[in-house]
Amino acid sequence: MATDTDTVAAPLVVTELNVRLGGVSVLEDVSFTLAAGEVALLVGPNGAGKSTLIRAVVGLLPHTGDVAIFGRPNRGMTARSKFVFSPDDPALYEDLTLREHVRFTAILYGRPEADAKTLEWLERFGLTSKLDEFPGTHSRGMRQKLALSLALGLELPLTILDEPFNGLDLASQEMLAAGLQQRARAGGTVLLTGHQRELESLLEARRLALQDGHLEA
Amino acid sequence: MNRAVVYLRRRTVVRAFHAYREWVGRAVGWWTILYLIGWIVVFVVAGLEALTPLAVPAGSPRTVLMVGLALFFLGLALAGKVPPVILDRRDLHRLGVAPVEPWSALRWRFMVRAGGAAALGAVLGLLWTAIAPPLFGVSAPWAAPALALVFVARFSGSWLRYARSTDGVGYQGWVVALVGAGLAVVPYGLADALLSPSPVVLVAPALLAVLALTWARRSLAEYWPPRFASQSLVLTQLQAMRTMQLMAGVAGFVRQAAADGGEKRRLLAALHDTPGATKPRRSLPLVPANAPQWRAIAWRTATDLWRRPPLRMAFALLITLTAASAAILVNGGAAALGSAAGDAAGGVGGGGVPGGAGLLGGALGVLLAALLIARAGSVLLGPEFAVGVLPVEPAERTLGRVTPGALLFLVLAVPVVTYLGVGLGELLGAATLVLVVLLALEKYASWSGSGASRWEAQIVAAILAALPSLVLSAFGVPGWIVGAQVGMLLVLLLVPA
Repeated sequence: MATDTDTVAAPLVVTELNVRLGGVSVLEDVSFTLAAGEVALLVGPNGAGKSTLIRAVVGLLPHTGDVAIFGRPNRGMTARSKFVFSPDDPALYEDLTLREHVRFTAILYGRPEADAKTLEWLERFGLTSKLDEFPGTHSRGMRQKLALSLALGLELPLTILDEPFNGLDLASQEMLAAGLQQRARAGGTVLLTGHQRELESLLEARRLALQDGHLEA
Repeated sequence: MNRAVVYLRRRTVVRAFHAYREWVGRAVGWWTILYLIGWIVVFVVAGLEALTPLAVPAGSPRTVLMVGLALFFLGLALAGKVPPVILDRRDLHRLGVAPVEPWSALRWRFMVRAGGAAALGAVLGLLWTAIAPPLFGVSAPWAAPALALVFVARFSGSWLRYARSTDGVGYQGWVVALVGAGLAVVPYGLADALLSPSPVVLVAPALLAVLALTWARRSLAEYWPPRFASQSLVLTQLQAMRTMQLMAGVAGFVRQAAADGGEKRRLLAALHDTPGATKPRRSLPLVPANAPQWRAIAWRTATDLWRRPPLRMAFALLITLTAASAAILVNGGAAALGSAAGDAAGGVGGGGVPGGAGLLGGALGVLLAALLIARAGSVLLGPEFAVGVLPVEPAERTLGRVTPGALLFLVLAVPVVTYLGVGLGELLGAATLVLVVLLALEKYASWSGSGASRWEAQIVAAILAALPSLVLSAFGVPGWIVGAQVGMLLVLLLVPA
């Protein structure tokens, strides 16, 4: 299904991105490009604009400047079928069980093979026995594991994760780091945010540092 | 430690009161509230002055009052499933687990609720004091304090029924219920407080209230009821959900205001510790992984309907059946009802023409039927589905959300169609009307973010669907209505929202 544009264009190109919220400038002239097979770690102090940048990149916040995903505008259907986004607070369907989440998500992204792969991730995270339960009764960490499994199981070319390590136990953090590296080795691109110092070396990630809405060189 | 609670309450209650006063002042305006209160007082005074004594007073209400008050207390048998007063999340974690006497932690909220019950009783008592002399020829000056005490006793009794499994509490709730019911029927008991001018009638309600309050106080001497904390947390979440929906609605964020039915049902199941809190009670088979998107969304919508509690499911079926019947009747189905159709056929047009021969009265009948269909549609469209960053076309979403409801309409229309023996033309008119309403409701609710359960979306969908009938009937060409409805259906299918 790869098109010429996919093979030529970079997975993510952000050009002079500006975001204003409530009259206040949150991001100013942010530009960067991510290549295929790259893991990028977005770091910065609280309030630097990391989550805002991520939300603008996926098209959930109004912005000026360009965001191109595989050469296509970020809000278009083609772009949306190329990336998966998992916010810091897991966005789940509270009326569906874990197993139903897996199937539902696989169908929405048109990737039947993601069904088995997501179940594999849930098994790695130790959630197999919870497949028939609603996520609403689960802990923060378990909900995070479900959200990450849904994102990673899809194996889309671009994976965007906001604070994915929050709430995870140590073993799960290591599994996630290994999974993200594996994703990059397979040619996928990963953009994530995080606070932990060791993440940069653990993920062998490129560092994107945000400070007061500006991307540091 | 109890002094710490007093200190905390003094600080937080005063601050909360101050913040509330400011918020009400800004959001509504205290002068506006005073103005409204002034008018209410005027209306009440005018109403009371309009009361004229009956020439022949009605019969003594003693028996009715006795039975009513006795049932009021015997109703405590049904109480005790959820706490009548709760602590919020902050107090539960700060005070609930601290070495603080439970009563000390709960006292403020308990007394506020008891005070509210007393106020309600006093208002009802005042009303009784005002209407009893002219209507029944009896003077009851002590009804307000008496009913206030009765309501406090009842509230305390409901707490005792809830706290029955706590150490040291067991039978007190039943005692309050039975003593209350007994006092309601004995001389100089509770009923007499509403029929006698003597202050002696206050003795029975006062004793009952003191007894119930004392027992309630003692029930919180050392232990919390076993499920109090977990139920308080769930009730706090439900309250927060309602508040968020209200505030989001007021602020215009209507998408946020739409209720998350699944989450609410799960919380209610958790509140009563019934199946459904952690796992669904029933499920539909999963759709294949290679199914199209609309089928997955339709499956989710159908699952939401399938997992409803029996009463809510029965309501959904009933309103759908009613709406389906209305759609058929306004589309000429009334003609099959013999004389009824004969009466209705005097309108513009003839049988089989919407807006012409409807039993509900022409184009206006179509509008009413469309409103009913929209109301049913709001139940059948299931949970909202925000496309967000998902690679899902709006058309897939609409098809998925509308299909289960449309199929249910079709199934429930079969017996109506069979009974009335309507023709293909009438059926086509009814089907297009239903589909136009459902599509318009789904599209408008998703586009505007208002949620299908809001009246605004339902009214817009109903007006849009009834537009061909309203306009073409007015222009005297009712024969074109079905064609116009089909055209509108095609336009709606193409709307990229």
